[in-house]
Amino acid sequence: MTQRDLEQRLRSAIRGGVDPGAPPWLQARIQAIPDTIPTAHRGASHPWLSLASSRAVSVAVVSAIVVALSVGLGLLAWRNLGTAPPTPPSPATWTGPVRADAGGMPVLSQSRDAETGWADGRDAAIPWADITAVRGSFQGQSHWGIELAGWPPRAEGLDPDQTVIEYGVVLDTNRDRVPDYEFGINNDAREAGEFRVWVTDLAAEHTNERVGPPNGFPVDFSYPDEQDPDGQIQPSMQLWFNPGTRPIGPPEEVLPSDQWQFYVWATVTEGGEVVAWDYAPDFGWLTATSP
Amino acid sequence: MADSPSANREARANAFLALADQHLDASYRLAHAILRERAEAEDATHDAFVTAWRKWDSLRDRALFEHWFDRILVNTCRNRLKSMSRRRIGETTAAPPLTAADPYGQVHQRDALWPAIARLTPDQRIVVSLRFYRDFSIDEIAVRVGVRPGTVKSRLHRALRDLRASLGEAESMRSDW
Repeated sequence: MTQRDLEQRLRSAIRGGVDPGAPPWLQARIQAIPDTIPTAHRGASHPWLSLASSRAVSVAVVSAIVVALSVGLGLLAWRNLGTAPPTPPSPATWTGPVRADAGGMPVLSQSRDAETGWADGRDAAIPWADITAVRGSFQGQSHWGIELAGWPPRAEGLDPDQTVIEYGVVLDTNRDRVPDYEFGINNDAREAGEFRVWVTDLAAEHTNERVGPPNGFPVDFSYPDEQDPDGQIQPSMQLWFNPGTRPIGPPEEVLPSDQWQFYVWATVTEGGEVVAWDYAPDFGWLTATSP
Repeated sequence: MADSPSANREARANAFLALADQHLDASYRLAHAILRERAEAEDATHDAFVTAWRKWDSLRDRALFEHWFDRILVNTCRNRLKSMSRRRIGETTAAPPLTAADPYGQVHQRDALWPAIARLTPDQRIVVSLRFYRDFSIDEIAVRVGVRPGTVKSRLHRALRDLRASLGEAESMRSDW
């Protein structure tokens, strides 16, 4: 079979059986998107305030704001003035993903309707270690989106022996403010361009990891490499559990995922030394429900 | 008042919906060509438009909507392919439904090709779909997938090599019968 024959057969196979257009119900659903989904407004205003002025405002959002204010964060007002939130900054030295001070961190509420999630200040030395927003969503698959201030260099161009870029999430699955699971992704793999993905059960001190393809287990991901190369969208790291891969356990150890508390981190390591890092929130646990 | 916040929101929504309406059918067809399953294509198309709306303010030049949205759609399809491939480990991927208008020969060729296409990695399948469904050039695929043209060439080369190998196996098995 010639190359031309193969290509013709491929065209025929791929074009065959494709529907001529979208079904009417899908068209109707897409027409409803602006009425039901708030957009990501960026700038000085806090995303929750943008949400509150949108058509999707709900009692739940207002309640979340009241709760946040009632615990003395004052975050909304501070953000609206364009100043730093009144939470302590990230630690001056990197002590690892699992923070020793996690037990003393406040629990910060993230409305599950807020599409932009928790905004984090520009406070890391390297843009791709600088987390600008984080959002966890727990409807269906548990998913975390970590937005970054800049595009990381492509993993395939990095020597993992020299440069390691890492993103991850620490989970408190029973709301006792003690880290229960850590999971993340970095480029510390056998070959440039591949990734190492892991989940660590911190209580059992057991790590489940995969280095290189096939991807998707134990944590699935979308690395910035796979997204927009020319800056039309915000660079982000996406992590999620596929069906059957999320942590499970008795209720006293693992609550339903929408009740988990979490924070995320990003690091850049050069020659074995962490040269840039960020936590989001800088000091606190996030929750999709009320603390 | 033309500049009121509600008027601005409405204008933004109308601009988005006009472009969404214009590109919906082509986007759905591309998702269907990549994913092959109607339900997956519907979900992927919807999810991609939701993402596009969420990111609407980051689209600086609306003349670039098609390229910008194709990237979102392709990335959404890629994630779905990854999930689909994991769900189906050990299962046989079904060939696409046959239509009455298909000449027998074309159906036969599709039957032979689809199991081979289904064995490609998600990245290979996407470049193959963009190349042979939309007839995009290497550079056009690179823009939509978000990788360098050399990476597209490499993925396409490996995909065609793997397809040829799979087809060779299938056809030699058939001739053995």
